[in-house]
Amino acid sequence: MKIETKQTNDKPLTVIIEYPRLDAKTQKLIQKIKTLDLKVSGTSNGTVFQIPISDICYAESLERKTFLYTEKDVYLTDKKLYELEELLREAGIIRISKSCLMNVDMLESVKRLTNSQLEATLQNGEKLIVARTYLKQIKNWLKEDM
Amino acid sequence: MLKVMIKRTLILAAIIILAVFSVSLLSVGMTPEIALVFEIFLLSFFVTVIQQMVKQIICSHLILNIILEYLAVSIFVFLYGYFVQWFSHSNWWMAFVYVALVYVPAYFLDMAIVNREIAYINAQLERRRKEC
Repeated sequence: MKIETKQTNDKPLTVIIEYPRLDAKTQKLIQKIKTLDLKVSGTSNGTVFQIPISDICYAESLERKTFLYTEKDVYLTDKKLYELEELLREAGIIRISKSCLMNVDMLESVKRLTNSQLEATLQNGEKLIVARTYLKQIKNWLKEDM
Repeated sequence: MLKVMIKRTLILAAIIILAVFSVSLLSVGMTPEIALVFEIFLLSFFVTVIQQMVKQIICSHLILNIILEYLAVSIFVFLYGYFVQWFSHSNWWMAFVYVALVYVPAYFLDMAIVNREIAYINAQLERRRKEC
């Protein structure tokens, strides 16, 4: 894949994709770029914010409330975790346990702890528990991303 | 590839056994051998349901998960075996031994798969970092 970039002052950010055929890889790339523009609304200290999906590190459901975690802030969203899962799957935010979604782009590493739990470390140092059932989803997502 | 072939072989073997014994059932009627085969298939179905239910209850702690699953399946096999007269009063504990014979190798196999998946994930993450 060849990547060309060009700075133009009088145009908004424009992405042009040239392809020999519209295969699965190209479709995934197009979908991925489209999701970069998506935003999810969340509140913090009573103020509503539009949070770019690419800023979300992970989402967690606690006591029937759903929280979005960016590198520095935490937002409360009115969406349920399963709604977020459907909305954000193409952007690489996938389920890692019953109560947590993780942005694969923010993933630093995965390891098995001595107590046999699986732990994901994010680029910001945050640690999340990965359920065994969902480990394959992370693997498959990275496999498809090749 | 080997995993897929083993899986397909086992599924095919199960279908062949089911087909052959179904024909036998129609031709000679229910014998103890035919009954045993259908009992095993029925047991497998219920065990699969129990496994799925246990996975829904707890799934972040591997050892706890497998112990819980082992106990649930063993108790069910014991009750089922008692009902279909596989076990008597003196050898009821055999249910726990039979299930352990399946679960101990399954646990080590699962650990190996987990380690391989973790290694793959970390290698892919490393590759992505290098590409960036």
